[in-house]
Amino acid sequence: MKLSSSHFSAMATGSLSVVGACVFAAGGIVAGALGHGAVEHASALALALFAAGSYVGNRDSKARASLNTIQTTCARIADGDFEARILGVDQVGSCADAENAVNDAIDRCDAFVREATASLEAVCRGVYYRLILLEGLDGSFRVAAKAINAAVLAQGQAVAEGRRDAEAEKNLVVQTIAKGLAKIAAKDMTARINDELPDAYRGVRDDFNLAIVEMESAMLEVRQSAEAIASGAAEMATASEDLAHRTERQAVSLEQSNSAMREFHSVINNTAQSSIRAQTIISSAKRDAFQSIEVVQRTIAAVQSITESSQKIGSAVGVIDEIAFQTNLLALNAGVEAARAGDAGRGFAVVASEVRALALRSAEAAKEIKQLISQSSAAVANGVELMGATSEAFDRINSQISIIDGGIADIAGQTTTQSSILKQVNSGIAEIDQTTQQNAAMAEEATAASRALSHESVRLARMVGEFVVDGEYRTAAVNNVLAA
Amino acid sequence: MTIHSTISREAFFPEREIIVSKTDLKGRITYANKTFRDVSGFRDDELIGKPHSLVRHPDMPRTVFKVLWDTISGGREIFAYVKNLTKTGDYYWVFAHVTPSFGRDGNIVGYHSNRRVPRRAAIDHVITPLYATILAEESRHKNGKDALAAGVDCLANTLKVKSLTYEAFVLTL
Repeated sequence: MKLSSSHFSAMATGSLSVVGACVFAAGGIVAGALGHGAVEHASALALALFAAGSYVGNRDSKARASLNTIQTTCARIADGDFEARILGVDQVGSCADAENAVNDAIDRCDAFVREATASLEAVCRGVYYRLILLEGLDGSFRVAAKAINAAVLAQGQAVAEGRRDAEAEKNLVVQTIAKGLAKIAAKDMTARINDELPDAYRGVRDDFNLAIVEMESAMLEVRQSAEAIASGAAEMATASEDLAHRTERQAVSLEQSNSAMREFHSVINNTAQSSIRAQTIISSAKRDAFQSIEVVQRTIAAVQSITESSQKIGSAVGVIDEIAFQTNLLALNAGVEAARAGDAGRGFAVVASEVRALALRSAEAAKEIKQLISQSSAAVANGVELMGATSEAFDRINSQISIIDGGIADIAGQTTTQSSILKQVNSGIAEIDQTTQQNAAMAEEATAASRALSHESVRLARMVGEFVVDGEYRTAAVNNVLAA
Repeated sequence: MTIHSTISREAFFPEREIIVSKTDLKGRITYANKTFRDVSGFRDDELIGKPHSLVRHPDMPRTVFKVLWDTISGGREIFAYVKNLTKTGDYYWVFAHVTPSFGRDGNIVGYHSNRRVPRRAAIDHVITPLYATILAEESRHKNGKDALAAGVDCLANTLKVKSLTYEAFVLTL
């Protein structure tokens, strides 16, 4: 049964119709709270109150006051003010019954609203056990409350199921991923997740697989690099050792060269000193040669003055010869005269003969001297000639000595040049020696470093080799390295 | 107290009824419905303006009301099994649901209590022994503050053992 406010105005006086409308408003609130099914309940309540109101309204002013209170209270309820109640209800009486009935209606609406609100707020907090208490809620209240409770429980169940499903999914995913991770932890780069996973986790699975594929290919590359490094390092170590040995040998050779050069230097120094001594000797020979030439000149002059003296002797001998000739003639004349003078002249004749014999002997002596002078002149001439030849020979000797002197001077000069060149060579060798020493040290260091590198690279290769890639992939080189 | 326990009788009210009362922010009664008046035996004018503790039974631990007031003044609802006193010294058990009433501006303007017929088994097997324990714990302390703190600890420990919140505990009895 459905009533409208026009029914009330048609059936009752002004004040009563207000009460009816008011109560109907309260019923409307109830209907609003409960839905369509609650309308009949509320309407019945309104009718009862209307009847009571009409009875009392005709009785006294107390009833009028009660109706006013009911009207005001219902108006507040209509406004949604569920704090409104009729206070000061009498212990007994019709008014008290009506007022109690209104309060009861409001109390139950209030209870329903509070319960429904609390239950649904609890749902918002994720609490599904806060159901509407059904005690005191009858009829449509109870139907609505049950509907709400059923909805809350269903929601709670759905949430719990969703949670369980999510948990199960999560467990499956965690287990699957954990299996994959365990393989990776065991250095197995062939680990892949091929199991079917819920949609939401497929991305994680694909990312996992992608990551491990990347890691596997990176590991392969690292492995190849490690092999290359290991073999390169081994080569470097060998080469460094060779270099060290060669540098050592070079240092020894260099030391030998150095001592030979020192010897050579002392020989050149000796040569220089010898050439200086030779120069001194040559100089004195030169002086001697000059002095010899002078002696020869003076000798030539002396011989020439001998020649002059011989000529003077020759001319003196000529005079003597002349005198001897004249003397002979005179002696002859004296003998002739003495012979004429007979005996008186006999003694004289003996003297004249004696003088004549002397003259003859003088002439013979002069002749002999002339001969000797002639021989002497020839000898002197020969001597002069020989002296000239000697002088010329000395001249030649002199000029040859000059040539020798020049040659020795050249030797001395070249020796000096050689000495200075040798010094340069020596300093060059010293430099080479120092460099060689440094090279030797560096070669030693390089050897040590390349040995360490070789060792580390073997370790790296071994470590990388522990990762399983592409089904026990392992190159011969790695196996060799690991076997070493 | 002993006198109450021995000579007082338990009063009952129909299961379809709700005992309803409203209080102001200080706990003074502003409304009592007919069921409340009938069960407690007080007239309306004897209730209005009086503190709600008027019907408080001495067997009730103070701890329960402390938790109740802490909860509702924080804007939240609370359920509690409560033993109440009638005007004649009898008692009646209720399953109280107390909620704050909010004004249009969202402030708490008062409190509202709907009290229903409680589950008998919960009262006999859980609530009565629990309240007795808490009450005993409270009475070991002379100082009211200490008594309350001890009672609250006792209740908290009970809930901890059951791994339940108070709300879950009281609603699942």
